[in-house]
Amino acid sequence: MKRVLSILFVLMLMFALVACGAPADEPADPEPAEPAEPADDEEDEEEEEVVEDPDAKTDWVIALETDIVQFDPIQIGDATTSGVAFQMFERLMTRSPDGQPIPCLAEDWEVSDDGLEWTFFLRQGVEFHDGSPFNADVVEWHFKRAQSDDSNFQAQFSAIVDMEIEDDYTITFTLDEPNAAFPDNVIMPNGGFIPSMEAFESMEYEDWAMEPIGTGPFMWSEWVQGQRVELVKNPNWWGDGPKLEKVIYRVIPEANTQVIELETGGVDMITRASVQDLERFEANPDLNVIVTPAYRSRQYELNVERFPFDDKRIREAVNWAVDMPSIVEAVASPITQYADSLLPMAGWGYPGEGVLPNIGYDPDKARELIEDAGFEMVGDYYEKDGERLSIEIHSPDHRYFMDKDISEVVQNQFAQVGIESNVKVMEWGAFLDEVRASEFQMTFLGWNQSGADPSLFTDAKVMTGGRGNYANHSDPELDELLREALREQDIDVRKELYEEAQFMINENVWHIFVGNESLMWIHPANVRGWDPSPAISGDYTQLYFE
Amino acid sequence: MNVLIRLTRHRSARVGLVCLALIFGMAAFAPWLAPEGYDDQDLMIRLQPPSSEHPLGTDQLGRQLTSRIIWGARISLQIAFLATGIGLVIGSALGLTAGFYGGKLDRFIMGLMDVLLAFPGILLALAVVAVLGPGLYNVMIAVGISGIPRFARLVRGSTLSVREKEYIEAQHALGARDLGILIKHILPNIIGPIIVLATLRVGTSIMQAAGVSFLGLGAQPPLPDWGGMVSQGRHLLRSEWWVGIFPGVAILICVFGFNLLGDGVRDALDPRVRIAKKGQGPKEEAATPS
Amino acid sequence: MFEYAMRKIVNAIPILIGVSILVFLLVHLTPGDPARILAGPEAYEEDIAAIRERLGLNDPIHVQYWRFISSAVRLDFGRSFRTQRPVTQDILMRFPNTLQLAMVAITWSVIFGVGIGVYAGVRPNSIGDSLSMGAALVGVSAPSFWKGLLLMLIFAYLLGWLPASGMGESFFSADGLKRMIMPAITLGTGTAAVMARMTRSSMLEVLNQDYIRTARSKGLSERNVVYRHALRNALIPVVTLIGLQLGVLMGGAVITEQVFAWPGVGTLVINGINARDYPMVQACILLIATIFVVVNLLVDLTYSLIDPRIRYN
Repeated sequence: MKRVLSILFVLMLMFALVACGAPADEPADPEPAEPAEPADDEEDEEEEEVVEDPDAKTDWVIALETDIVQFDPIQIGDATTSGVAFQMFERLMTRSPDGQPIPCLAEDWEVSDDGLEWTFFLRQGVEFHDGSPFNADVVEWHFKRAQSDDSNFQAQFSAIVDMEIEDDYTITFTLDEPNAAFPDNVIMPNGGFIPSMEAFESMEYEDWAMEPIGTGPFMWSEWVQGQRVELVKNPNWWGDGPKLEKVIYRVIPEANTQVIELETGGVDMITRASVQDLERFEANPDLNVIVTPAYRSRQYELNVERFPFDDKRIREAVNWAVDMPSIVEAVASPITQYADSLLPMAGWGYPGEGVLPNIGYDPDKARELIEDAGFEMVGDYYEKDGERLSIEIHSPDHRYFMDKDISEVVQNQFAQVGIESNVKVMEWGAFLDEVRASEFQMTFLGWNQSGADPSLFTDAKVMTGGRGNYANHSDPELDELLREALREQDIDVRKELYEEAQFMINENVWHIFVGNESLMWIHPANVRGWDPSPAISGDYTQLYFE
Repeated sequence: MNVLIRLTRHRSARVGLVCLALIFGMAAFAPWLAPEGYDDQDLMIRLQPPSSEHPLGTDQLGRQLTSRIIWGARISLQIAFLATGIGLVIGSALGLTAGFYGGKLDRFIMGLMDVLLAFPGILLALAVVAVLGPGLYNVMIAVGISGIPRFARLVRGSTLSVREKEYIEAQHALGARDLGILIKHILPNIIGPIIVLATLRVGTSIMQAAGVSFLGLGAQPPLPDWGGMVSQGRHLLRSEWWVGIFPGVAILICVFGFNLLGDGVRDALDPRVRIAKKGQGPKEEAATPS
Repeated sequence: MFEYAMRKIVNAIPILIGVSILVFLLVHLTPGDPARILAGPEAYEEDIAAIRERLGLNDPIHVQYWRFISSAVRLDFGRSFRTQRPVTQDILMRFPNTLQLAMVAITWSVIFGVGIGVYAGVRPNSIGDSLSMGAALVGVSAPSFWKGLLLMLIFAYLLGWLPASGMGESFFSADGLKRMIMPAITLGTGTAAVMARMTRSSMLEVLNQDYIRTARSKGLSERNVVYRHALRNALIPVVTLIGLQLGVLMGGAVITEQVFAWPGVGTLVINGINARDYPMVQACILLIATIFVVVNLLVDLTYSLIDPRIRYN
């Protein structure tokens, strides 16, 4: 009985779609596009009527390395879940390809002259997937939750000291201090995804967190743990699209297997492949390889409070001793590209190659500086007052691209100039403990941000007491400059200020820069309407197969 | 002496000895055998396939696998002997104590051993390394610990059967000290099965240590630890298979050698009991896939 | 018999309590703060502190243990730190996958192992015996992760016959079967080799017994002697070994699952260890240990049924 009803329902739906939904240029074709699909799969029947080419694929299958975790936005901490959540949830603002905030659930916004009050004018008539309305109440509820003890991002959201609902579709946030990076810091990370309040109130928490209900272009459909996630098109989405019927994620942890699945058509997109595979793909006209530098910087942090990096000459010397551009080129290209700044090259704060002062590769100069600092060669290594110039290099393993291998080469090159070192490869949890406690001389570390605002990097990594300033960097002049840059609202002025800041950072020689880790996508060449950028890569609303 | 002669006549022991001679030879003469050091990197020749120039190919940092595998014999043998040693010494001491004194102490010790045995060996080793932190010596300790209960069980059983013998009781009557009796009279009588278990255990130790390395918690780079090398090669398997496959062959030869030797030692020590029976002698310990 | 069984069962309880304490201590002693791993390197210190508080990590250790053990007896292992889902739910979803793998592995390895063992046992010291026993020892001596990689290289990459990793939607589909082959072989070779060696020695022993000689002297055919009389008795120790090997396989599955990205309890426990997901690790290891203890118990009971003397041992 149930079956009959559901078939009737599907037939009605099909009729409705044919009647009003089909684009004018589309030939009516009642034949299912994918005969391989089982006939009793109801969703397949309806999907045929809305696509432009009836024979084209309408499901987009993406390989994931890890399974999703959970979808309470204020607790999403992993990239996988974040990427899937992006399809279902939306934020007040989203990003343009060059990283600037653009309207999403908020159609427009205003910032008061003192930079403290941000008023958002919300999009009207938007509904969550459960049919409940999106309005200022939901926004207030969400950001209050984001500030509560349930949130993993309280610190970020604590910048909001007050929220005032002006009317159903207008809400004003008051900040504790002017912050030009407010959108990048608060509105656009994972915690900014706005879920359905009504669903939260009517569902058990754990069901709610595993059956995400947002306003986005795709809706939650099915999850087979450890294997597959399926999303279906949201027919009521306020925007244009999506053209796809389904987005399917398959959990395939092994990179090798991902490659095979791509080549055999099991998946449509992978985001990881070995250098050798990449070369083969690039020669293949049926596949597209897209490599985009991302806001992910990698460097060795030199702990300035520990021997021997309390001496600036040694910090310079280790930079001269290592031929990082060649190492990165040989071991980690094209995924990682050498960069001579803490700021990502893809962001607007980077002044371009060759602008910033940088240290090259010159082992003799390194030796000179070390001797200048009072060390002398005893046997194979430098010593001062019986103390060996000895460095322990903390390194994670497979957390950042080729992290351990790069560390091994660095260790090798150190030895060539007479610096004794060993690589301490640590398991991630223990590594984080030691690095957070500044218990290291030198460590490989990455800094990943989804936004391009330079303050996301500088204020965290090199401002005195910054949250990611594990190597105890401190320069009062730089701090002052960075504060000024954050208060400033004019982007051109900010650009100049951050260029100056990067000069100061490089002149302090607090790091050995490694580079930026790119994002990579490989998919069939007949994919259209998708243009990933470092700022926004998961927008599949215009994507279709030709 | 008889035992040694029997051992050299034992067919599988001979094959085992040949394998081990190869491994020990590599370890002992590494500086002369290996054309390069184990960390001689050359980024210009990364990931070269096996050829006359690079006999077993090169790894992702342009290091010769041949040289790394030869040097790696030292690491593997170190792990093998020290880890087995830890299990042997502590396990035997616990087993002797439990078997000799009996009663509550026995129940306590063996209860503890049962708890350890209830863990799958590899998980116990992994958990211990996670606590201690990665590194060659910590891996040895972890693998050693997971071997303790096996020795304890065996030694306790043998001690129990020897304890009641008349000459031991005579020693008690003579007022000999417990420790003296344990070392002078009991230990020599149960040493056979301990040796057999130890020989077989060496292979298991190597495999377990390799397993721990494979899961990413092994010796620190650039040490050429075979298990770690397989683990690295895993990511290159599709195109540069040699990086992961050859070190595995080395593990195989080494463990194979110890297992054959173990079989031989068991037969040589007690030619009548070719077949291990329940409760007597170690069960077929060789067979412990990590 | 009943009394013996009861005693054994009662003995198993302190072992499991011991395991729970040990697991608890090990995970808490492991450096690495769950909250910090959860929040990632880019997180604010205040947020990490708040997460720690929420996960109950600020309570004294004995309070945490009590919380763990008092709900564990009700089979409630708490919520995963990572997913916030009840741990039991995740384990129940994954455990059948591990069990399926272990069952397939043990089935083929027993059939294959016993077959080889009998073959070798009836012709001791022949070439066939030496070869098969040599092969068995190689099977035991190769690390399972390496065997897995070798299979993957040959059958998935070079020949392209089998999918390299992952599990099929259903075991009873062509895809499901194909994906099962390599993990099951990897996991089972060790056991098959042990079975072969055990069966061979057991056969040798039985074939030297008086009643076999009697049977032979009565003029029964060799076939009859071997398969009707000897094999039946020789298999008794082999049967008990199956139980023990099942425990070994559950442990070995951890690595095999890791190699083939098999979505079972093994991957769950490794991911749990990496994320310091205490509730998850505790529950998984306790489950594996319980299975191990229960299987051993059954083996003991079976053995005592076969050989009553053991009970008074």
